[in-house]
Amino acid sequence: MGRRRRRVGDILRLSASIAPAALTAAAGRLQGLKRLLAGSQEIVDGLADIADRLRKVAAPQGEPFIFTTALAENERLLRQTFQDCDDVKFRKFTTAGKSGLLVYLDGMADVDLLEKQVLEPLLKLKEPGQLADMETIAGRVLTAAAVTVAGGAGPGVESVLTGNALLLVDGLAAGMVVGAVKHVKRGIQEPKTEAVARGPHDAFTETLNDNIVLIRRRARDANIKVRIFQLGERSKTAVALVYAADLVKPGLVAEVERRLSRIRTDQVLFAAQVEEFIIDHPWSPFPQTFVTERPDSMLASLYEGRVGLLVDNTPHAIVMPCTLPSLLQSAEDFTVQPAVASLIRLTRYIAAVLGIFLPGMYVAIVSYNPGMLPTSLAISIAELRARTPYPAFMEVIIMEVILELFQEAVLRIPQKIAPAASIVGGFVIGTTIVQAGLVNALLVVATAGTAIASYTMPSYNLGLALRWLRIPTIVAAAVLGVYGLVLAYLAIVIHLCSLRSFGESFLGGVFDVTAAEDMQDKLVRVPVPRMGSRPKAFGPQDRSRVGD
Amino acid sequence: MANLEVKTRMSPLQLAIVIAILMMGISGHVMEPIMEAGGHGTWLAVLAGAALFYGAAWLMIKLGELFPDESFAEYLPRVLGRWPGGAVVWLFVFATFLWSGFALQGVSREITFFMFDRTPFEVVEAGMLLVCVYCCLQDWGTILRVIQFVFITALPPWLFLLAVSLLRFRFINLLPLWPEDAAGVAAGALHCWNLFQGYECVLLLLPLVYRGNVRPAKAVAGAFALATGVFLLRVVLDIGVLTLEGAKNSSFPMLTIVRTVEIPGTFLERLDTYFLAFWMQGIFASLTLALYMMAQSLALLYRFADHRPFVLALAPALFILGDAAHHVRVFEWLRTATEWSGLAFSLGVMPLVYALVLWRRRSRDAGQGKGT
Repeated sequence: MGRRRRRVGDILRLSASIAPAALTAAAGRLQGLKRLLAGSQEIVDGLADIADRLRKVAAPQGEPFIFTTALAENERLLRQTFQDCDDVKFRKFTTAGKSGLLVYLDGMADVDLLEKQVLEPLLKLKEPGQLADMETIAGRVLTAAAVTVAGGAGPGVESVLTGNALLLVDGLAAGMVVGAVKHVKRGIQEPKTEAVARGPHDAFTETLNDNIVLIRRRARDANIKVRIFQLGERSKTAVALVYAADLVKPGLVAEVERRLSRIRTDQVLFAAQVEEFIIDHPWSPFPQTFVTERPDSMLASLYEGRVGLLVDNTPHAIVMPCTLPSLLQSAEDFTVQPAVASLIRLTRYIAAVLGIFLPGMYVAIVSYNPGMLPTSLAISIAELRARTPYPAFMEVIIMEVILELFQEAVLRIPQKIAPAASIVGGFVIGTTIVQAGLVNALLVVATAGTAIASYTMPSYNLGLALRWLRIPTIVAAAVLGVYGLVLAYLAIVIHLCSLRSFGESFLGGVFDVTAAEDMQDKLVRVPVPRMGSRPKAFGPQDRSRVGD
Repeated sequence: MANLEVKTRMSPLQLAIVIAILMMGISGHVMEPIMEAGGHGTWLAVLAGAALFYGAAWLMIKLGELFPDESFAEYLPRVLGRWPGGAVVWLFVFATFLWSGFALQGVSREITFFMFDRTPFEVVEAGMLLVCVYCCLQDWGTILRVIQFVFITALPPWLFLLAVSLLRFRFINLLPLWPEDAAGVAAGALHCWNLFQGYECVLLLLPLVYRGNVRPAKAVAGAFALATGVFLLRVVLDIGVLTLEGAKNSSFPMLTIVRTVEIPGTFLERLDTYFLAFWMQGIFASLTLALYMMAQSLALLYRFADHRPFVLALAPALFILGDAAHHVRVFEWLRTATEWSGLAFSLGVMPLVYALVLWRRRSRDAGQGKGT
């Protein structure tokens, strides 16, 4: 405080000795100096802007920047890119007199591996000659197995976000990606929806690399090709296109690639998103790709000449082309006796028809054509119907709504109380709704039969399609009885016949007299030794399964 | 969208299926004039009709083989001249149109009579036509697949239910087997056009049939054999169950027979409804093919890339014709007109065209021979 007073006193004394005119001139100069300072700051900002722009011009298309020989500059740019990303770690070190930097994502990269195979050799290095370029470092210094030189900043940044580490050394205008991905992931578990009693019990997981390994482990075949793409402008989700090069129908891989390349979206979080982009008829209720969580099913499909897609973070593979018979097949079919499997398959086809038409049949027969039933049954139904106030159509709609509510509720509620909800739905409401006189007992039987029929579908999405198709068939039956039901059936048949999955008929070899030989593994399954040829429907390059 | 499946070709077997279903789909209400003329010799009339119309189909195949990779709507205007050639194509479309309208009305009568109490037949007609139009608006590959689907899934149970009617069969009703009136049998054979119509589609579909081990003529013969077998079964059942007079006086003999069948144990009743449910699919297939043939012929004649606009134009006209034919007299007139136009096309115009083409070719070959 005392010092400040003294300084003010000195200034006052100085001003007292200088003439007022000189004081005014000094004030003017001071203002000029301030303006100069402000102008120079603008120049500095402008120069920095120009430098930024020049750097951007130099960076190739899609790259945020390019690596320079100055490590400090590279670090600055990386820090700018990873601004507010506290999980990105920057580890500085000195090796043979030069500065180095290791960038990695905490929790995604294997720190032990980086310590032992990257940092340790570099810190022990004495000879600067071995830091001449990245290739030399990779070849002579590092002991890590998976290393690649990243010329551009884009791949470097991406590799860090994938879980790899990026190594930069002062004086080198390139980075090196060290494969060190190690993140928390789910172990390989049993299939949730495609479990079999006698057969492999491993299923795909959310990790793409593990899924590829599950395929590779089953086939030591160099013709199985795996090509990895990135989808999603922001998520950059890895997608693997898998096929057997010597079997796949010519043109199919190119067609799949073309459709994948047309995907424009910021994020790909599920395989189902990819599916909707690449199928021919997105508004059709029928699933147009075969979805499996079993590596053996996928490999079997590849050996039929089909193409598979594995999407990172999705424990299901997409297989295409897809046919209705393939959706009605189960891995279980190949682990039981052919005769038994054939009967089960036929049951599934019948179940699919019942799953769509049973409620409609009830409406048609009860409302329009009761004469189709045996007289005693017709009388018994009439007796039951006399106790309910609603027309058959309304009864069915009430039951359908209740069924859908139950199905949704059982899916959403915690697993522990699901059985209790099922009991409430199945027994309590099933019985009381009849006692209350809202619907008759026969309809409860028909509705339960419909639900069970749709649950027998090996493909969950096909079961959903059956549920969807039930509604228009009920309406058709309510309007025109059995005749309406037949018209609805024909409309569904026409739609099924018109569907194409990657250019192939959705019905596959079924109901096509020119593909009669495909019947060996369609409605029925013949013994494996007799399955000598691959399905014609998928157009494989080599039809014979033996003597490749 | 790339289409990796070839859909513009078909096998001879597929051609046979198309022709068989065209013939068998609508055969429920065309027996009466044949029985009227042929009497107890109706079965002979059907056999003679099969031979006669297979002959017509064979000529059409031979004519088509002279112009490989072309349908009649493409080569006729070139061979006969633009207007005469176009007139022949229009005669084909006209005959098919009349037949389709007649079939639509006949079918809607039967469905209304056997399945409904108060539903107007127009609703039945419109429903059937709607599904046919939906199918016809697809590409040929899809239509062919639908036809095969129906042939494989609906025909066997339909035939089974027809065969079950043999439970009511009495052989004595068939007697005498040999007819006394040969002229009646011949007239009955001519009336059989309404039974065997549909084989004319070879004129349109032959270019699509790929050459395999089976020749198209053999495939068409197979279709005729199957259809003839079914029609003979019909004749045997109609007369064997209802007697000749009963069958002639019955509006819907086939369904009446099936209706009377009682299965032991009575776990199923009213078999006619089940029978109709399967037969309707055959009717649908026949009408779809007829609509497609008309639309495709016109599309080729007027060089349209697609048959679909003609489907949409023909469908309302077909509905109006079917609706108008509800009156008994119009229905009978339509049956006669259909028969005559079909006979004129199959046994009159096409053999003449074939003869003309052969004569011109021979004249040309002779001229070339002299020149050399």
